[in-house]
Amino acid sequence: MSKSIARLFLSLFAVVCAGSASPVSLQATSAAGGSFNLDIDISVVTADIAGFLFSIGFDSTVLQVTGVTEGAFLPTGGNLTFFDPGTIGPGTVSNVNDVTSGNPSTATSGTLAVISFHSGEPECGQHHHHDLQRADHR
Amino acid sequence: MVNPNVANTTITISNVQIIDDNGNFVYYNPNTDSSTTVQFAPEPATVLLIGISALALWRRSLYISSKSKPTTNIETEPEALAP
Repeated sequence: MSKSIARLFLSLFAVVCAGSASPVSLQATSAAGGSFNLDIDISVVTADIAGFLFSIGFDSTVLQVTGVTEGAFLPTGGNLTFFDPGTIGPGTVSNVNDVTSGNPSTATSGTLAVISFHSGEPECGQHHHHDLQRADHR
Repeated sequence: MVNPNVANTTITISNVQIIDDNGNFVYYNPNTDSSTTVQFAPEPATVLLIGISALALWRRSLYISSKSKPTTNIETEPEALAP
């Protein structure tokens, strides 16, 4: 009986959390020349955020991820943060996460992380490097 | 191999978990949380490639149409001689 009540409570908690408005939003910046950044922004009521985790999905036939960097939101608490850029796979960046070692963020809004994307062929520099390598073997 | 000709695409965020200073969930959504459609300009090299391809197609269509023109033999009737 008590287990059933606990399960019901947990289910209700999950539904309430999932049903509330998301504090997270996506904002693309500088979308020129086939490369752009995607800011993962947050906006909350109280400034006591101490960690986060998320995953990103995209069309791998169109985009490539070139980098995942920490945003300025969590380090505002002044303590050391432990940022994990997650795992870049085909069409996904899984489990990007960050946590503070002490004080939580003092801000109520800001950028959690920045994902850098590139569309199209690999960068010109990569082609040149490859050509140079082939020239050396001739 | 990526497709450089697509100028917009959708990016989603999922499994969003945010915790407060006490380790409690402030927000948790294991599903797709939100998405955004990103529009971006193709690279100049891509634009050039598309332009050259279009020009080549246009020239070829001109060539084919000139080859397939029906030949017309115009035969003129001799003018009637004046009596």
